[in-house]
Amino acid sequence: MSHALRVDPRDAVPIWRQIEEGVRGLVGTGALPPGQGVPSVRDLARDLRVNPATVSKAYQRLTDAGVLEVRRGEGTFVAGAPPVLARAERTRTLREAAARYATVAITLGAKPDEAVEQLRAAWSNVSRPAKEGAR
Amino acid sequence: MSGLWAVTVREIRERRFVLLAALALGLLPPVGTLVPAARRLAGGDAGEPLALLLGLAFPTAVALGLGASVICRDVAERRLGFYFARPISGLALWGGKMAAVVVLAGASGLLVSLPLVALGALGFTESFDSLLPSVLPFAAGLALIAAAAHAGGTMLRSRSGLLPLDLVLFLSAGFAFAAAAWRVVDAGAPGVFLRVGPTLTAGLLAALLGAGAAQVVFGRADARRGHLFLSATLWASLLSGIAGLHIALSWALSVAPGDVARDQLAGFNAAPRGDSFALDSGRSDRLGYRPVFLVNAATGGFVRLGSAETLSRLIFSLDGRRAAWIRYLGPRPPLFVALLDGPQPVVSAIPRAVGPHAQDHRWPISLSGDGRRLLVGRGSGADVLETATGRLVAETSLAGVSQGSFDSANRVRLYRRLNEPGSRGDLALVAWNLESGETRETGRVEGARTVNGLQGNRLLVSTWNGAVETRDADSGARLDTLVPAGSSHRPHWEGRFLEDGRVSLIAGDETGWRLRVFSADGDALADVPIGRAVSAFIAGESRSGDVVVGVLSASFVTRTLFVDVSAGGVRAQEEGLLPDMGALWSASDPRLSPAPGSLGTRLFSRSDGALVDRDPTSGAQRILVPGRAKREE
Amino acid sequence: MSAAQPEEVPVIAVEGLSVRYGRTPALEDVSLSVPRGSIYALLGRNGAGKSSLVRCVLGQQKPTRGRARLFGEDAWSSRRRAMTRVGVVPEEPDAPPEMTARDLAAFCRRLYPVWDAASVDARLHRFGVPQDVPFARLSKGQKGAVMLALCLAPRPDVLVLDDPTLGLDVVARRALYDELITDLADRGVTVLVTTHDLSGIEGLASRVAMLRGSRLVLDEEQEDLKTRFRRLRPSSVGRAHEPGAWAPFDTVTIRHRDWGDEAVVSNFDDARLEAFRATRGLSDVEVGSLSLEEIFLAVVGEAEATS
Repeated sequence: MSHALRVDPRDAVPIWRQIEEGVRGLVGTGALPPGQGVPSVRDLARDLRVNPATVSKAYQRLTDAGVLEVRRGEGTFVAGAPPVLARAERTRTLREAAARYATVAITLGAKPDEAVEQLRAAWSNVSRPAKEGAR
Repeated sequence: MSGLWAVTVREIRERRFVLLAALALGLLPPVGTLVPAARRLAGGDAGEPLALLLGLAFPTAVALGLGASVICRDVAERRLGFYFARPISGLALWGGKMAAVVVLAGASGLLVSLPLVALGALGFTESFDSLLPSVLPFAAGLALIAAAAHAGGTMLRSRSGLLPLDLVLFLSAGFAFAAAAWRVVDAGAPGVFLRVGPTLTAGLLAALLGAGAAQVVFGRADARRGHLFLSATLWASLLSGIAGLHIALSWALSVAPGDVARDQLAGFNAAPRGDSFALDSGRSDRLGYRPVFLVNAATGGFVRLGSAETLSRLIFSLDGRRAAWIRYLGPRPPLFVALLDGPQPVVSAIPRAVGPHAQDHRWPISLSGDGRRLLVGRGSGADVLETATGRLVAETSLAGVSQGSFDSANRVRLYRRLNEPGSRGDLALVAWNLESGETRETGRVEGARTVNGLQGNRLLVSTWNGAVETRDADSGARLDTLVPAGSSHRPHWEGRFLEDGRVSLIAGDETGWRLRVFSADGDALADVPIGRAVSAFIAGESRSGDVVVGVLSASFVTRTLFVDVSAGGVRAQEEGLLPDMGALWSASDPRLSPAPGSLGTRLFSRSDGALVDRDPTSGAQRILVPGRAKREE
Repeated sequence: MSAAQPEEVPVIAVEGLSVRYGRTPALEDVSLSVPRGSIYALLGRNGAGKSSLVRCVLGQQKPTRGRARLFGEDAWSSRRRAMTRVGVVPEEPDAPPEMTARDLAAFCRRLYPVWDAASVDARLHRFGVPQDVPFARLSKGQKGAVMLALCLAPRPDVLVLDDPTLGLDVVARRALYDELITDLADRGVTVLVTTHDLSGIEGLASRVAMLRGSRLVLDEEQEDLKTRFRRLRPSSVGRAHEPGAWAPFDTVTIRHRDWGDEAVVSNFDDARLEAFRATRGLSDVEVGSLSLEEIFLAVVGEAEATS
């Protein structure tokens, strides 16, 4: 998994969030299928050359969000089923993510149509490997 | 302190090569003796001293070298941080390194002398047992060398501005110490060095070790700060130690007769006339300073003459107004003269003895009547010196001069012991004219053991075969035989002229000692038994004409008898009193004898050690010098 | 502030620390604290007093003013006790030159209550360090490995690393970071590290402090640092160097480039960006994030700094 995760320390986005979103992305695209094991905190920290506490924090959040699950004595794995969020939670999460995207777009001076166009394209890009890679 | 042990072990292990070098060096001499040429050169007995030399020189070099590098190098190469980043205390670090140096140096000393000892003299093994108690001082000495090397190394390597200050303080300390040493020498008290030496050495060692410890504990990895602490600690402790030494010396050197806790048998002797007497400190001392005092009994005024071990016998003049002695320190022992007229003796020193024989060992024999001239004996002859200047007036190379006296300023009588084969203790009577320098033997006394006295033209002589006789002072011809040879049960060579030419002497028979008095013509006047005793001696005549006899019995039991000659019996007896024992040994000037009623006949040592002046009439005792509170026996 | 919980007592704390060598100040009035479990990177140019601070913290040097505390106690007086729980990798490997790695391990082992001898052997083996060669004859990387192994074997609660990657090649540096991260992951130690390898430490450091000259000019969580420091490249600014030209931003540096002006600002947030765009009437402003090295250069490297 580590080779697929890219962490940019210079990015303003905190490293733990980069890891969290990276994992979410991989899970979402199916690159990390349910039940797949993920590296230990120590190994991932070594590979990414980041503070294990940072990895720990990301994993904790992912576990709390139900994306990952910890099996005692065995390690950490991708959760069996996509997380079922309460409707309100789901809406809120989507709204927050949308707000972030909108801010970026506005900052760049993009028009709403352009922004939506980009969003559509990204959506298909992200979901396509799932269709292709699924065996 | 496991840290200390770990450091010590580690340092020793790292420097194992020193021990190997010691072993190799130690094997060199024995191996060398296998080479015949070397054996001839070395000789059979070279082994022991060589082993000793190596056994001392090598460890010293090791202590010096390792001491200067064991920490200093780490400081210079900035490696001390390694230790300070670990849970090891500064004390453990310092102690461990120093301990390692001492162990290495000591062990190398052992190893380097071991082969010689093993192969060589067994006698050395025996003396090895006697070396065992000196292990601790040896280790202390090595530690001192190592710590001093470390201090020096630190100061030189630190390259801080403190070095000039160190130098100044070092010189100051040296100067202050030299001043203390000079005080000791000036007081004539070399014994103080021996007594104080070990303490001073221990103090120096403590100062050096403490300074190094302060450097490591408070300076830590900072070289300059460490140097500061080293110097501050070292100089502060040394200078305060030396200051303390000065204070102690002031205390020791200011001892007065009243501070001396006397033993009964410690020496004292009084002038033949007047109020002066000399007093020995005896066993008691301050820091090894055992001064002889010259005291005026009437006023209590006194001077210190110097430590007893360094002084010659004190010679009084016949009138009791002068005294002279020699202090044996250095190559040209100074001559001292005291004027005893005033309330306080006044001493002047003639620091440089003059004359071609100034280097010989000399001893004073007799002062002239006016005290201006001193007769001094030496093995190869005799000299007469001027007491005011030390100038040599006359000298003679007659050997064997044992006694002498001045007839006048320019006429001296010498009594010379002859050691020719066949003569057993013959005494030659020599007249010496100081103006012409001529010596002339005027007579002989065969078999004479001692000249007990000289009065007018008569000598009182005791002989080896137990006789006591009066002889002509010039020709030696026998005048009277007071005690025939072989008649005495046990010969006793004690005798003294009394006033008007009478003679008193001690003789013995089966019942013990007896005091016998004879008239000027040799008639027996009194014969008084004294009792059994170890010895007895005549101190002189009291004011009332009693002969004062000191008696010493077994177990230090003492008493003094006051013998009424005309009545022929003991008028009074004082238990526990003993007069001046100097009378036991013949005076170097046979003319000297205490005047009747003089201090010498009134001064007694009491059994509790006090020195008392006893009134002959009332028997009342005035304490001049207190004694120990009670004798522990 | 009410009485701190034991967990809140900072592992390392420095209060008003000043260090002077003669007239020259190496540190002036520096105060910082290293929270438990953090990785604290102390950055500064050469001669900025980093090593002096480390020595004060380790109780090896007495500060001219102020104090340093380890585990809540004065570092100088409690040094010996504190060192049972602290592992130190110095800038220059200072082990005695004649001692082999084996000797060193045997020596250090006696000093600590806990000693993981197996870890020493494992680490030395991993780094390819021969155990019976005198320390002086090892390569720089091997020396560093030995120092690290000795430092980690007693399982210290705190690691103090003074420029641990100095003189190491890429491979050795990587290996060192791996060791560090592993130990961190296993035991959760607190780390104080001074370094010039900003990119290497960037991923690791939770907290960053910067010394400029002899003063501490920055001390915060790296996350926050990254958030508020940005590079702005507006399409046009006009008189870029005039005061207030970049308001409401605090600029750290301003540069003129061929294609326009760019500024590094230290108080970026979305609201300010909006305000800036609005007042300038700018259509687009390029916002870039900065690496730790770039932030460092901006804060410490530039002589000129606007408020």
